[in-house]
Amino acid sequence: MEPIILSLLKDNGKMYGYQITQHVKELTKGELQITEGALYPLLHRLEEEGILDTEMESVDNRMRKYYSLTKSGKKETQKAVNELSLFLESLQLILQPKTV
Amino acid sequence: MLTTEEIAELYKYCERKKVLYYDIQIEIVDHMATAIEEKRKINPDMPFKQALEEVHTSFGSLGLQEIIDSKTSAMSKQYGKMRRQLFWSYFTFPKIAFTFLLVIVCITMERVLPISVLPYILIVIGGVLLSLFVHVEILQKRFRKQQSQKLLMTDPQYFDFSFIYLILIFQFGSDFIKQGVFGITNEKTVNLAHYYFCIFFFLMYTVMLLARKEMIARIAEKAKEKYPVIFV
Repeated sequence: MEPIILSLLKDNGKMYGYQITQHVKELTKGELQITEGALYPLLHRLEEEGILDTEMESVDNRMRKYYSLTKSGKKETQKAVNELSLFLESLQLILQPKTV
Repeated sequence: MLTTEEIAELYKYCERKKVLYYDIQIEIVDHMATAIEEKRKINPDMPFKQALEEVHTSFGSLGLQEIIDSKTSAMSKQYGKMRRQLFWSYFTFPKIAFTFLLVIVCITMERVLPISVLPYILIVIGGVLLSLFVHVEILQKRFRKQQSQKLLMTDPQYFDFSFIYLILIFQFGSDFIKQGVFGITNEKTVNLAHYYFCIFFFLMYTVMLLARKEMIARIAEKAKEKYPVIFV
């Protein structure tokens, strides 16, 4: 789930929790749904590790917390996406081996 | 858009579910409010309470507790790192100059003053330390009093770490003071070893207290910047 969230933040700049869950749902056409109980602990961990930065904004009549990538978070995103791509390639090779 | 009363109801809902910290509540309230607004776009007649129940179900039975636990643990790691960095900053440039100055003062006192006076010096240093400890405690309490809501980021569990060390230091120190003041032993080497042993702990504790004071100031500034509405 981590590479997905990091990629979303890389593409969209800053996002809030609910927006992330809806984006993932839309992009995967409902195939992947992130629960709130899984999303927020991950966001909090990434914030603590210095990968994400947060800022508060007043929206309508409430406060909203936005997440964005830090400098090191941007590097980490590239690394996580590369690792995921490699993993998917390996999986592809196992599931559909090339015939010689 | 939800009304102010409905938002207030969401905050009360969080409290009923044992989410007591404002910095966690705002994230949950915003999430729930946005989800309720989305539901009302599809079904404008949906009652608020029904929408709220439906939204809460999506968090799962342990969802809220998981969010609190993850935030508590993340904050604990973050503050642990900050505490260590601030402590070690007194042993690197430029703050090492201050630590070095304290060491020089302690050595000079031992060289210049007669050994019989040293226990009294330690008593004075102990008094200064105790005052510094009380000063930091007051600072922390005063800052917490400025908040109209509880914040996890300023919770006492992350700051109350120095009193136990103070007791330990006084236990070490009392041994030397008893020997020196009451003349149980007049052996110079024993007394000097005790003196430097105590000085070492006094120095460490002073640095720890100063690091704690700096940590409180930094977090206070950050909290005021992030959540200005809850500060009086």
